[in-house]
Formats: sequence, C-alpha cells, structure tokens
Amino acid sequence: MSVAADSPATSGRSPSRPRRRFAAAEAWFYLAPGISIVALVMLVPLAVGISFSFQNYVIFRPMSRGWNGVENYIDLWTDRTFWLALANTARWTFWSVAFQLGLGLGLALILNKPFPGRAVFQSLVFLPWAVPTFLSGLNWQWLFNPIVSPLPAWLTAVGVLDAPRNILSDPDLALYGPITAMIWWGVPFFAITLLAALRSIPQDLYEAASIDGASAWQSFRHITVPFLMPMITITILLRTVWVANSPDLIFVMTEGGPANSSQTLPNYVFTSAYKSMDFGYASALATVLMVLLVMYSVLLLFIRGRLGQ
Amino acid sequence: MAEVLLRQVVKRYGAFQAVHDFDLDIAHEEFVVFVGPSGCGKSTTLRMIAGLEEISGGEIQIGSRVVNDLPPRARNISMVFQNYALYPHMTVRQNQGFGLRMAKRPKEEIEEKVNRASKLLGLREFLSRLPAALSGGQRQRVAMGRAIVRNPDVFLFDEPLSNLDAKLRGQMRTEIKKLHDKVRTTVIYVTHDQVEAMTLADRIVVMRDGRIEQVDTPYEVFHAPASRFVAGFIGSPPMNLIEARTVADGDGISVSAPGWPALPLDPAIFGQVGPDRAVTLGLRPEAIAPERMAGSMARPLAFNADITLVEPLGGEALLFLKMGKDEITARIFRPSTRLAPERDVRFVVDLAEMHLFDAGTGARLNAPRTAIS
Repeated sequence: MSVAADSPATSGRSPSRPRRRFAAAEAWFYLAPGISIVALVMLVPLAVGISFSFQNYVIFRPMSRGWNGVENYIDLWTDRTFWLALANTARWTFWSVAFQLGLGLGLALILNKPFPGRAVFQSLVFLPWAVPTFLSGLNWQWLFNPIVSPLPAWLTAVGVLDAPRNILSDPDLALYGPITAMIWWGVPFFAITLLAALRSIPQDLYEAASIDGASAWQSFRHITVPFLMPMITITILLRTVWVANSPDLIFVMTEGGPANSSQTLPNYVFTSAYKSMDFGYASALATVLMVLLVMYSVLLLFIRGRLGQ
Repeated sequence: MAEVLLRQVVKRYGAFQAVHDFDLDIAHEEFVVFVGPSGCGKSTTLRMIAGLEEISGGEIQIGSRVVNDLPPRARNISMVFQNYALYPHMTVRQNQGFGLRMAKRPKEEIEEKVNRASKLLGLREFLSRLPAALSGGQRQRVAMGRAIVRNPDVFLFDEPLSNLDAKLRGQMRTEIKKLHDKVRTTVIYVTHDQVEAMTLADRIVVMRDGRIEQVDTPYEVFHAPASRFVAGFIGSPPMNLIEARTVADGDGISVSAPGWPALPLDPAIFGQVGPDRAVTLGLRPEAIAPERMAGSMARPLAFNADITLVEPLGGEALLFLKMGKDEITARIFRPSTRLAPERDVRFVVDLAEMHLFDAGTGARLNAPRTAIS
C-alpha cells in the first residue's frame, strides 16, 4: 500500500527535480556496460592508433621511439606507393560496388517475378555470401591460374586477354582479379537487400501506373527507382566502407603485388605494420583512410538528405 | 463514343472458374454498377475490362475495339482503386499529371488539365502536398482527379468508397453522382454496398458466384427482383423471405405459410402459378404495418401478430414480428405514437406488393412488371 500512500504527492504533476535527475542517472546506468565496451574496444584503440601516427614507432628500433609531429604524414605525401594505393583503393571500391549494385539489382528484379524453381534459384544466389572471403579468394586465385583452370583460355577466346596467362601476375591487370572475386562474393548482399525493398512496393502502384499509360521502363523509372533509392543509398554507403576497408581478398590473391601494383590502402597499412614493422607510418595511413571514409559517408548522407526532400 | 461490350467473358484460375459467360452491353455515357457479395466476381470482371487480369475466354470491346490482348495503357481507361493507389512520393499535382507526363504531353497542357480537374474537385490548395498529408476523402478526390485528367473513354471504380467512414462515404457518393453529370463518360463502378448501387446506377448488374443474377434499372431491381437472391440482397432492411406452399383455395390459389392467414394470389399477376407448389414468399418490410398506422394499400389483408422488438430510428421504426418460426421485419415511416413490444396486434399486409420465387431455383414466379405506375 506504500505506492498508494505516496502517489497523491506526485500524481498529476511533472516529476520533481531530484526525481528527474535520478531518471537521467538511471538511463546512463543502464547504458554504461554498452558504452564501456564500445569505448574499450573502439574508442581507446582509435585514440591510441591516431596517437601512433604522430610518433616514430618502428618495432625494430625501440630506442628511437618518440613523438615526431607530422613527419609520418610528410613521408606519406611523398610516398609513391601511398598514392598508388589510394588510387587502387578508389578503383577497387568503385568497380566492386558498381558491379555488385548492378548485378544485385538485376538479380533482385528477376527474383521478384514468380517463375518455376524460384525458391531454389534464390538460395543458390545467396550462397556466395556464406563462403568465407578467404576461401573464395583462394578459389579465384586458382580460377585465374591458366594451368589448373579453363578461365584464362575462355577469356582469351572472347578476346579479353591476348594469351591465356595469369592476370594476377600482370601489374596492369592484377587488381581486377580480386575485384572479380569481390563482385562475386558481394552480389548477394545487394540482391537480398534490394529484393526486400522491391517486395515492400505496393503492387497496385504498378497497376495504377500501367492504367495511367506507363510503359515497363517508365514504371521502373518513376516507381521502382524512387522506392528503392533510400535502400540503394544506404547499401552503397555500407558496402563502400566495407569494401574499401577489406584487405583479405587482395592479401590472399596477390599480396598487393606484383610490385605493389594491386596494393590498396588497407593492404598497405597491413604490410607497413607487420612486414616493415613501422607502426607509426601504418597508423598515419590508417588515419588517412578513416578520414576519407568519414568524409565520403557524410557527403553521401547529405546527398541523400537533399534527394529526400 | 465508348460503349463497352462483354461477350461470353470467362475467368478461370486453374480449376476454379471465377466468372461464367458474362454478357453485357454498356451504352456510351452509361453509369453501370456491379454489385454483389464479396467473391462474386465483380472486381475480377472490372479488372478484366481494365486489362489487369487476363481474359480466359470470350471477348471484351471498348468503343468497338476488341481489347482482349491490349495492355491497360492502350485501352484509354482510367481507374480509381479501393485504397487509391496514389504515388506516395509525388505531390497531388504530380499524381494527377502522371498519365499525361508518361504520354509526353506538353507542360502547359498538363498544367491546364490538372488545374481544371483540381478546381472541379476542390483540390487547388493541396496541389503541392504529398498524399501522406491528406485525409481519406482528399486522397479519394486526388485519385478521381488523376482519372479525370486523362480524359478516358471509360472510368472504372473499384469499391472506391469502402475505406471511408459512413458520413464521408455518403458525401463522396453524392459527389461522384454530380461529377458524372459534369464529366459525361461511361462509368463502370464496383461495390458491395447496395445503397451505392441504388443511388448511383443507371443500371445495376447484380452478381453472385461469378454469374449475373439480374441487369436492370435500380427501380426494376428493387420492385421486380429476378430471383430470391436479388430480392434478399437489394433493399435495407432486406425483404422478408418466407418458405411457403401454394394451395387451391375455392376458385383461386392462395399461399399458405405457417403463422400466416391464407394469402390469395391475384390471377392477373400469378396466373401461371399452380397449386401445391413449394415457393418462397417475399414481402418488403414497407408492405407490412400495424393497422392503426397503415397508409392506403392496394390489396390489404389483415392478420394478428406479436411485436417482439422495436427499433426506433427517428423518422422511421423497425418492428420485429413473430410469425410461425420466422421473424418478420416491418418498417413504419413517421411513427405517430411510441411503439413497444405488444401481444396480438392487428397488422395489414399489402398483397399487391407480394413477390413469389420458386423454392428450388429461386427464380421469380410472377410476370415481371413492365409498366412503371
């Protein structure tokens, strides 16, 4: 009955000051475990990493460790491999995401129409997503090997290559090996998300449009695309960040070679840190990559906000 | 000129036949309403006319052109959907102009036609709004505006008012009627609401189980229903339908039903009905009244009954009577005194308003009334 006893004092009025302060404290209390874990595994390493980028920190030379200002960034500015890796990152990300989007949208449109055997086809399409990237990298490495795989011979037959050789060992083409693997591996993600978005479009809008005289292309252009746009933007955003950040396929298939020709920034970070053992320089590279991705995300969200109006 | 002709139209879904040999001629500028319970095939038929459903058999012509294999966009029709199907990402103006934009009409023409339709429908202040910012009635108007703007040969309405509340539904019904007077076009309108059918239609098509039960003017459908089904479906409250038999009664023939006195048949109307036949007797609630409140009747017959329940509705009242095993409804207009359940009340029924249907087939037995008196 104690509840009934003190309820007249508070009921019908806004809670008193200490009460409100207690409510705020209570919320923070519940959030605390989550916040501390995020801080521990993300914010602290991030701060430590950024601080490394302003230090001379090479594992082989522990005696010369110390703050060195922006020296790492100046080195980076004059490092040709950095600029190559930056350009490769852009190329790698653009082609991977562009083809994943195009093929994923195509698959989603096909799977959105009923046809016999759709359920089987649908699960097959989503299969690559379940394969570990490491394994798919190894598989594609073999597929590009002219000794064990017919793929180079086929590429030659259709005129893409002049002779059946391994593109992974060609400095001009090496990057397109991992890009192909990445496209194959990432299409299902686009297909799944876009198929879900397609299924949420009310069918009667298409009926109304067909009565209003819209052709199939016009329905796609004026109904499907506007409905898919938010999903497409958010998926592109997510995938761009993931693809730009992911070194594993390149590492497995080319190790950034030959002669750094397929080096992207995450790989360069990895080789700098664990082959040259230069943690300071690697941290500077990683910081640049992070800043670029944050700028990109803000820009895309801004564009999306503008389009939404 | 856009008359719509349906010839032996059939719709099958696998083994299930949704529409059976549908035959109908709809005249230019006629307002035809398809009415029937849900699942009777009325919407399916409309969607076949629109081209949204394939036609399994037969032929549909719009304006003397066979449209069976034409896509919806080539039929020059427009349609108002039950849930409006407005494009949610377009403003009211863009929604209405969509069809013309798809047809690549010049901007000034689109602007002018959208403005004219918006003025007609009172939508001018809402042109820049998105559908989400409109009320149900306003969305309904936008859907109609979108249909009018294209200046189609035929308007199709698929249960357009069923998502509105009762009051708004009444208002929109009146507006659709007025709109048809202004924008003279052939209209095909589907509803399950017999009041909408009665008030809007030039001709009503009553459907059941994929077949036409009756095609006629609202007056004829009400006063001379072609079957027991139509009699029970049209009219509110519905007609009293009583299982009965015909019996020889002196020179003539009477209808005998449990609880009722013998109801003599008028040989001028029911001449071909023989004795000893199972029939369904149909009496509209308006044809029955307590004797003390009854107006003038053409062929009154008195009987006694108990009033078990009274539903006063203001301008009228419904009385429920116990007759044998049946409960009978009587409808009294402008009841002069307070009514209450009461035993052994003297009633009259107007035998001139009597309908008879075959108990087996449900077909109407008396000759259809041709003259409207």
